[in-house]
Amino acid sequence: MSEKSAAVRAAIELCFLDPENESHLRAFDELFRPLVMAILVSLFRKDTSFVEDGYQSAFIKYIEIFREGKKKGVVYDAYFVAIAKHSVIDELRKQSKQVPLDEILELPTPTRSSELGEQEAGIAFFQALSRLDRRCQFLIESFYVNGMSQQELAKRLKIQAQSIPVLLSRCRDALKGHLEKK
Amino acid sequence: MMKAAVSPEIDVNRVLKIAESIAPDEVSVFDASLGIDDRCLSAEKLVQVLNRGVHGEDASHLMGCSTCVENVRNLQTVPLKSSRDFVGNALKGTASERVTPFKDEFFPVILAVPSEMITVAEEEPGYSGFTCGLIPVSSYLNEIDVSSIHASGAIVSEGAPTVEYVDLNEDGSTDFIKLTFPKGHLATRVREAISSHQNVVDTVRIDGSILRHKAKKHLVGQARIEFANRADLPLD
Repeated sequence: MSEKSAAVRAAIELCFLDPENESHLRAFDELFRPLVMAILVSLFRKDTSFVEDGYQSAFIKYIEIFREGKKKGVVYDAYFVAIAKHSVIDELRKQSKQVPLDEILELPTPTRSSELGEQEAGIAFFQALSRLDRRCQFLIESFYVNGMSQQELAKRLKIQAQSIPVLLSRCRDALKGHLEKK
Repeated sequence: MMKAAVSPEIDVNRVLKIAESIAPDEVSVFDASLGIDDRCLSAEKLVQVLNRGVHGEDASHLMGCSTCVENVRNLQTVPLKSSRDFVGNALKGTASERVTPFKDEFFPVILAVPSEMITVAEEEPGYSGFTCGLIPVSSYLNEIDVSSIHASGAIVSEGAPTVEYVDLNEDGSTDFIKLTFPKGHLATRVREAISSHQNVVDTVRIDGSILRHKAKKHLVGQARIEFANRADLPLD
């Protein structure tokens, strides 16, 4: 693990120890913000103004989580990234932007079942997505979040356009598998 | 823009249970690729590129990957530092004003230098041309006054560079500009280090002008590069 990533984890630990301590939260924000921004601009490429709003909403949730206290077994940096990604999608919906991702979130999986709220399912979705190989993550995010065409995807991946539907289908199945593991 | 507090309906405990059950491996999410495959730049590398420029293997990759170039350009458009009152407002459950990533009169650009190390012959002139990629925020590409671009610092250019507009994914829009400075010289401190057979890491800075709405604005980028005496390196 890189030094920066380790520093983020250490900053998260400090915030759990004293969630009202503003200087701990500032240190966490200073380390975490640039890294999560890099991830968010790669998730939604069309208009980066949503990224700032998404991060602001996510940060308020992080403070709630710090206040709740640390839970065993949770990898918080990855979890916080999933929250930030979901917050960007929320911002898009608030602005009545079309989010093709809604289509894939309708997959009938246990995490999508009625016992879960929309936000929880959305965050779980992004956590499961991060378990897929990079090409699948890129395909799903580009196609369902950015609305990239199959031709454009094929050009980026340097493959035939007719392979894209097959690949997308495989990636959706793999994603569903990870959600079902829950 | 002030925004309302976060909606209270989220069940944090339930989400945490899910997070626990599908927690990713020990590899940090910030060290993972953000592009089309595992060779693409990670979040940490993208941030480093913005802060320090990029050289070597990562620069070569960047100059051949439209997705990574897009990630770099997009990252330049968002603020990497929060406003002063950001954390205080978040503690109260409210969001803060958006901050602008950089001052209006100043446009940072990313400098990509494909070589890991620049090797220099001890005898004059030593300098044999310098090539780098320049990645500005997308909308300013056509507004750059290329004749104004010059290098300073470890390498001092003489005259205008030759310019190539590179369209990696052939979609009709330029992804970055490839600059070659055919004439120039090395800074005295670099030459002295080379003469003493010492490798030296120094900064190359690129400056130029952007002509935007008839107003002249400043473009600046820099990268740290290692210089070595060619005679000190083993023959291939």
